[in-house]
Amino acid sequence: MTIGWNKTPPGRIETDMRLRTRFEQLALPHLDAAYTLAFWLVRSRADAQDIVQEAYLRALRAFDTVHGPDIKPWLLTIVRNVAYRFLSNKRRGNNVIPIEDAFLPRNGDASDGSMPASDDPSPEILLIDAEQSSLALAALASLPPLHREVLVLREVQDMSYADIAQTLGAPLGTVMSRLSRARAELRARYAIIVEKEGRDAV
Amino acid sequence: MRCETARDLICVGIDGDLSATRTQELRDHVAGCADCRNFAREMNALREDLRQYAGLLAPPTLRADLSAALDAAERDQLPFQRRPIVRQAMAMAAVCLLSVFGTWTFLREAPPADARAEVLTAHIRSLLQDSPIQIASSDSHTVRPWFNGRVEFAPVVRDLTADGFPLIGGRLDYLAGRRVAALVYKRRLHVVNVFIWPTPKEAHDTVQTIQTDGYSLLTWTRGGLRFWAVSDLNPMELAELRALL
Repeated sequence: MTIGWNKTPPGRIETDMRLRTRFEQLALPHLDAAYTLAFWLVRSRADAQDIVQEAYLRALRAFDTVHGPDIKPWLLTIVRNVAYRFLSNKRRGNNVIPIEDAFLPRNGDASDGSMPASDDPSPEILLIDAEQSSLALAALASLPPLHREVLVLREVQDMSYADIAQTLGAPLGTVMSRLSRARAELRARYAIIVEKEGRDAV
Repeated sequence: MRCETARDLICVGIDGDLSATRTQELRDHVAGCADCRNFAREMNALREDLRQYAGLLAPPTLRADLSAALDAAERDQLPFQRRPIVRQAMAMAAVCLLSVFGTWTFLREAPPADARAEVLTAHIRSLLQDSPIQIASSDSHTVRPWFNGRVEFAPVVRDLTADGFPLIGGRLDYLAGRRVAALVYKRRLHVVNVFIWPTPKEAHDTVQTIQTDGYSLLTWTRGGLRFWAVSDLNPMELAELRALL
């Protein structure tokens, strides 16, 4: 991805070398969280890496506008924005792939005809390491992005409601209700997958 | 409480956001409802799976690529004089200047060995010019005063025509970081440059003979002056000249 840069304003007081160091000190600790969020939004490891890179570069450029030692919600907001822009570009450009095709069941290729035609771009295969949890992760992957992200921020990142609200740019009440619905939806999808697994295993 | 409501509350209540009464109502329902108990159990198991397995570590390539990308962006973004490469260049230039200055001050009182290259160069260069002299006279009473105001010392000037070393004239030169007197003698067809400059009084007169590149160099000190005689003349005859000066 290429990024356009504005020139540094001439009145900059702080030297750019110190800014870069301070940025790294505050932003690099959140690299795993940024990558996790990016991955679950775009469901591709390669794309997630590109997105995190672009997000961090944007964050560096905007770094003088942020205060406080904890820049995680601000940083994840940038990651989120870059990821959604990526998704909308992809949606506009390519064939739309149904959500169920974005992952493959644990025991091999899908035999229920839900695989896309061979000349479509192939869906990203989720590489899931832990056997027992693969169904839970498959359920997560099958959710709409808004549900996925709130679950990742809450269940995986253990962020507070207030921080999640800041990251999503949504009111606190919206976050709580969305989280509740996302959990219910997660379980529903999980039940479907379990049932499918049971069917295929037989 | 209906199961539907209970399940909604279970999804919300996990974070402890229910009021005390609602929480109690939910507990009462769950105690008596197996389906809802399973639901709650599954819900917690799913959340635990996500917590344990959905978190990813940034791959090492990402860290490396990010570092490089930040460097590149920083280079584009910095004002010119703050760019690392320019600062490096300026630092190197400063070091070069310091080392030149250090070497220059060192050469002012340099032992003879360091002046030999300069002396030889000055000698050869003088032969490449239209004339190796600025004042043409073999009369020491003409040449010696000519150096007044040109060098800050009084050089030793002798016409040695009677001894086979005619004085051709004198020249102002620049060696070892200072203005020096250059006397040009001839021996047969050989040109001899004798460079003279003041030197701190030394305990004893030092003499050194050097032969390099077909040239002979002879250096000595006497009476607070450093002498360098250089020529393509052989060293023995150069030593004769020294004895005469």
